Amino acid sequence: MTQRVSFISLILVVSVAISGCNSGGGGGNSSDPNIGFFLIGDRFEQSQTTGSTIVVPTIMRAQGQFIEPQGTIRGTVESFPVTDIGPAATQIPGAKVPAKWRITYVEAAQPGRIPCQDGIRTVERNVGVGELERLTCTARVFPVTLIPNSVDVQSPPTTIEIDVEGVSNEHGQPQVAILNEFGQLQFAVPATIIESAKHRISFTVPNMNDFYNGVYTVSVSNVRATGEWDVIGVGELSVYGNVPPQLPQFPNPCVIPAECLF
Amino acid sequence: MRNKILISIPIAVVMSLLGTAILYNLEFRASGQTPPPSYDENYSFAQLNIKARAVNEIGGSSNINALVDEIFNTFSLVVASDVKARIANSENLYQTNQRGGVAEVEVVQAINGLQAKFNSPEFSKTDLYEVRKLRQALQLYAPQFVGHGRQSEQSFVGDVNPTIVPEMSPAEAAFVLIAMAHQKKANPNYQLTFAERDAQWNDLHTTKIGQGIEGDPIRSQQMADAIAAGVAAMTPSELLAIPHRALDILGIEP
Repeated sequence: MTQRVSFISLILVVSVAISGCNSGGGGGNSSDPNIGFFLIGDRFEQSQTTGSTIVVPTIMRAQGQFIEPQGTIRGTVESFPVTDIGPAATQIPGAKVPAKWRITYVEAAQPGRIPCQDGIRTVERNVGVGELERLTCTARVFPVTLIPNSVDVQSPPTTIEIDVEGVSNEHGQPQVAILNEFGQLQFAVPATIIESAKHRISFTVPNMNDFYNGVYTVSVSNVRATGEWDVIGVGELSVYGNVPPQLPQFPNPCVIPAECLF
Repeated sequence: MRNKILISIPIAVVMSLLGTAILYNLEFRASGQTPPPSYDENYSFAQLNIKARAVNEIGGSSNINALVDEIFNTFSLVVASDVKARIANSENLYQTNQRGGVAEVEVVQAINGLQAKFNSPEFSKTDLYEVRKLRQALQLYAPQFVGHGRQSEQSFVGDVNPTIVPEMSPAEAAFVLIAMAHQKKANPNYQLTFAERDAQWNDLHTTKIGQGIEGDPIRSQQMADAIAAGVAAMTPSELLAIPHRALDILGIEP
């Protein structure tokens, strides 16, 4: 019933620039009476804050049902059976459009990935001719957890604890570094492994008077025999209490077009 | 007597297994918590982190090739082998100190160049702030790879070096470029014009710290439409040249 989009055989050979094409809505000719619509799966990988969410392609298992027309209808197909969607855009050819469709989907099991937390979802979408509909799900992962994970700089805690696997003091105390959102190091301090809890370390919170509102990156490193740090985990710390700076303005580096010309 | 011994062996085995289980349980209780999830499993970037660790700790071209393969696997991209070979070769030079890193501005140039090439919406342009923000987000998931640099560039105890290496390895630069292109297509946090980001800056630093941007599905559709129109207007050779041109902009050796 459905047919994987083939218009972009280019996807098979092109990488960087054409990474956009596999979202390929409208990949077919929009005057095609059987164009139907396209579906694609997106997995929102979330750590501690939603601001640092990263979207990666995924495979969804979906089925759909036409509900009602929303204009002059093209196509004749009123449903599609359980179909694997993705990672490239997948066409539902001949589907009635423009129309409201009910789509039920779940992320397909994939090795090495916990499934999204959403489970089975049903959405109703107004789908236009040849349009691309994104089926999304969210996976929340916390490889590193800070306790507490937010700090008021006016009354900061004395210590912060961090849960992170693989921490070791074999060649010295683990090191904790905090960076602001521009990646600038704010401070680095040694941490102590909490013996009663193998994966947990604790560090003394330094003076945070200069920290402003925002999300800071906290990295944890073991120390190697050579003295080099070996980063084992990175987490986030939300900070409140001081006014942030202005958004920095960076010049467009494409004022000499040749440097950016494709 | 002999029978008693024979009977007691399986019992002893069972008891010792039970004992181990009980001890294990007690140890777990003593720790007062379950261990945190590992970087080596359960999420989309785990394999990338594992392969980057192998490059950092062992090095060698086979580990570098595996890392480059994983970059494309992470974003479900199938790519011509000469593109991968080019990145792997450059990464090898970098890891053996025969070339420098890739500046973040080069990712900006490549993304903004693609925006011009595909005539995609203004929000698909990027800048240095956004590239750094993306690297910091990716570092949460793959700290052995993103922001890591060469192992020899890691901080030493007592250093005040930043722990996110400003210049990227060629493989990281290619990865960040692909990741940024994908975020521009699908992630509302990266689908803002500069003016829109400026307007939201205060909210994101006062009442909405750590929160994401409310998405507008129209933007993803606009991106898809722009790319489809761009693809339709280009010749196959023009399209095939794009990844290599992107690598040129990143300064990755031909």
